[in-house]
Amino acid sequence: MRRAALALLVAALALGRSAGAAIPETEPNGRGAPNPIPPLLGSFSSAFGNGVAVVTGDLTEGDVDFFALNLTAGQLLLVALFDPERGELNDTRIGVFFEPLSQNDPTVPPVAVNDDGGPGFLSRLAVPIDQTGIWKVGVTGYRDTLFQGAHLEGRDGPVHYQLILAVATNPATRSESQNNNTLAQADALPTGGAVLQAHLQPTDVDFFALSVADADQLTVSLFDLQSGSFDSARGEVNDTRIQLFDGNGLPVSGGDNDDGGPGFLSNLSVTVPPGAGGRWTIGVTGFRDLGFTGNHLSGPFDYELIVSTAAAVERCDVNADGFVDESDINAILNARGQPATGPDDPRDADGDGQITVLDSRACTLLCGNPNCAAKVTTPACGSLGIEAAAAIVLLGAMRRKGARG
Amino acid sequence: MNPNLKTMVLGALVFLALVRPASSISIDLVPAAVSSAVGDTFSVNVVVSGLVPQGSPRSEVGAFDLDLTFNSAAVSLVSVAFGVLLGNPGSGEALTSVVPGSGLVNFAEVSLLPSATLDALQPDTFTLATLSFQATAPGTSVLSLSRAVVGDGSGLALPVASLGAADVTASAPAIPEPRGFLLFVIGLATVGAFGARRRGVPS
Repeated sequence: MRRAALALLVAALALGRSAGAAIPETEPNGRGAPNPIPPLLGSFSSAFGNGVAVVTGDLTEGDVDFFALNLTAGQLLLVALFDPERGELNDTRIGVFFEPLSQNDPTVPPVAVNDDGGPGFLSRLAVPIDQTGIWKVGVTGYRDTLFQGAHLEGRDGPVHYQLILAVATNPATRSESQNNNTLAQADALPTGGAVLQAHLQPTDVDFFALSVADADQLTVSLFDLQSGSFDSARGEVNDTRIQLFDGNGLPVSGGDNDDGGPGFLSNLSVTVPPGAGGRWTIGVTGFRDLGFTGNHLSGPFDYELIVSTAAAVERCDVNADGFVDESDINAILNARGQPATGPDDPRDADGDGQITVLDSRACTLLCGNPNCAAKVTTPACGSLGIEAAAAIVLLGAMRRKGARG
Repeated sequence: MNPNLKTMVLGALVFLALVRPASSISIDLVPAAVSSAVGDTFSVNVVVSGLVPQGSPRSEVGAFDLDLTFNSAAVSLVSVAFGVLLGNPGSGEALTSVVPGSGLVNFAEVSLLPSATLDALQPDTFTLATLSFQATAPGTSVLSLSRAVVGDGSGLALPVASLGAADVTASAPAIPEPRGFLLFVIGLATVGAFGARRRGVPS
């Protein structure tokens, strides 16, 4: 196991330290004519050396998004969907299809589907790949069982989702040292993420460390699968907890999850706060072990851990003040007609590569105040003190001048 | 009813309820023909129609970005006034932008109101903006909407089926006839002048 951990560390160093950029979806990418062939994501063996790709997409009413991957028989495809902006209230469905790239036949049935396997009503699933060729992952809304757009998700504004696609051997390579029971002994993960298999047993705690940058979006998904099978080893009865720790070893606010789903398994998505980037650690333990000291009876069982980081795109926050308001909308409105500077351009809300009036309207849905009113900032007492001091100095000077005169 | 048939009918109803009809809208200039004297100003309304009637699902206008071309040798742009059915720009309910050019004006508006408010506010046909021009030379000119991007409350593009135009005929200003009062004053002055001469010159 030490050898595996060492190999993982070497891989981490080889992969560099910057989080990969998320892959933005390209519309239209729906199901059936007249939609074009869905874009083929790069090969997982080369483009995504650590086995994890992060795709960002927008789901709107009646919209269906498809992504294509070239996979090899014997692999395991793990798919998890997160909504970093609105939490877990959006209701999605994901499906996995086996179909030639050039074929875009809406009658081809899915190999596997999932409705609410993720946090809240979000979705996730694991599929053993039994044929080499093109596999397609479809994202749609609740009720759209045919993946043809019969849904209302996004009616009140686009659902900006993160689709985590992980490909591993089946079963995933065991990459845990088992000596990783403390923060200091955490196994190093490649920057950008990883998909690995680990083992949890009573009194055991697993820690994994990776480098994150400010504003990165970090997702952690925990699967409990029977080797070589779509079925879970014990269904979803294994009960886990996960917790993120910052560079000082302190729990990250909002960085914990118990039953984010499915069942009692855990899932979470966190944006790294400004100034908090650095070496973070992911802790995995069992139910009730609030202190991550091993005080639990969960297991023994093997689990798949998928960790992804991607540079966050703060959509619509053009002036980068952490708040979308009228000034951001006005900046987008006045930039209409310009090409986007890239997939991370916050003005290009719909990701079509152009700044349009549609982006400005889409961004109003993310405003922090009604009618996109400006953020109210209360002046600090210190500034009032400076003003008062200035007034006193001025009065004093006037009095001195008066006395001399 | 046969259970299978009932299921099919129910399924069809649910499908129809879920699938949003693709609405096509039109944007026209009203009136479509304008006559104006050189030097006078005239206005045309930019009117959107074909929105899905109120109810659910429906389409509302959340933003628009339009180009209007005109013959700058015959008319000049005076002003662009935006309507209030995307929200009142003066009350911080909408943002507007006008970019004038030579023979072209680009004008855009984005509503800051929620979609539900727009739904309640907007009828199926309404005025987006009113453009005022001044006729500067005799002749004819065509005001033409050359490009339109219209978004619904979610920022999704609404298909635009047609863009309108308006014909403008500018006529030379009529030469004003001397007014009666002016003639009266001139006549009075003439009579007074003759009278004064008669009194002042000895015979």
